[in-house]
Amino acid sequence: MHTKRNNIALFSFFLFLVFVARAGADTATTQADGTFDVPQVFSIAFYTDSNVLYSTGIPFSGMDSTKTWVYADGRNEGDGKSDTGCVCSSNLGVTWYLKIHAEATPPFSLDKIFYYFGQPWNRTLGAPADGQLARSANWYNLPGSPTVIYIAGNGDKINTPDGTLCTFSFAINPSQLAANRLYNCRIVYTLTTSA
Amino acid sequence: MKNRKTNKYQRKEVSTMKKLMMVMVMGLFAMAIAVSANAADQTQQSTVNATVGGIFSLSFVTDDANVIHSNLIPFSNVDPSTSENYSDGHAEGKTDVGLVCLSNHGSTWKLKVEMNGGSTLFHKLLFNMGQPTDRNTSSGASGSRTYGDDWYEVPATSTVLYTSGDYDKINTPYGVEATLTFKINGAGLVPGSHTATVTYTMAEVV
Repeated sequence: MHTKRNNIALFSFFLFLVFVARAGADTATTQADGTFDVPQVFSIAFYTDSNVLYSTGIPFSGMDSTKTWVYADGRNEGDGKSDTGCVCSSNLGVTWYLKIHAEATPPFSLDKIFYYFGQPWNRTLGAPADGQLARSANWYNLPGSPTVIYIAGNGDKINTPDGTLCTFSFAINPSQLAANRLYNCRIVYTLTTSA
Repeated sequence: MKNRKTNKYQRKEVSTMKKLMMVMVMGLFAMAIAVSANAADQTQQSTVNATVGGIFSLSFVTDDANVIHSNLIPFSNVDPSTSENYSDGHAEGKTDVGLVCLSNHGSTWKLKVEMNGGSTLFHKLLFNMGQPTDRNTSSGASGSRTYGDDWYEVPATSTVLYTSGDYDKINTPYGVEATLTFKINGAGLVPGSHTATVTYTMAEVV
């Protein structure tokens, strides 16, 4: 009888151990150590689609010299398109500036070429960018030295993954330009953290 | 005993979580340091390539109220007793014909005039042309006239009236305007209708 009681106790103890072991198996832990590197993004890249027609080359072919205002090939007044588009991307969390300037090859001169720049578009948010135009949206002569045209807003400071889209249109006054020669002008867009 | 083993695992889990949180905080701190630094300027460039279509044209003026005729100049009441017969509607300060010479070729050009010599108005039809006007600047054109400020018979052969100057060689968008006034010497003209064809030519000097 004493042995039977011991056997029962022992069996119960083993049962207890089984239950405890199973209870231990239900509570599992994991441990992971790691570091997270977020790469710096600060870039300007061309953007094209059906409404943004050009990028590295902007053609003005066979301009009518009896006119004083000519658009790029394929462009018309009020067509809703742009000549070039630049996507400015940043995750620096600081204010950035978009600048523009041009260098004309003589006899072409900067007083012959004009640009139009309106409020940019925050592609990540799907809304107008919240930064500030340096001048109101209008036609201006291209400057000969880097000139701020847009100051990033709070929503632009970290605008990844899709960036802020800035679009441009250009026009030329062909009067007093000779026929049958090629005129060149280089336009530079600069994304910078310096005002 | 069961509860004590459970707490043991919980304590280990809490300890693990603390370690994970610490690592995450340290990682975020490192990232904050990295992103606050200024970045180098980034640029893109476009090149504008532009060409201009050539233009070399001669046309009648149609936008000047002081130019009263173009391809037809009527003289309805020529008085044979006078040499001073002017076109219909002529008045002081007005001219009969205006010609716009347009070029962006960058070369010298000449404006010429002639009439058909067989006309009964030959030697009877006279013209006067002042210094042409640069329509871009509204000032005198830079070229030179062959004839001065006087009346001359319209020649029977193509004769240069004006030779372009440096600023006329590319005179777009508005060109150079030359205006002519005509008169008829009625002496010796028989009664009836008389016609003459006056031809104006803009010729490029190559």
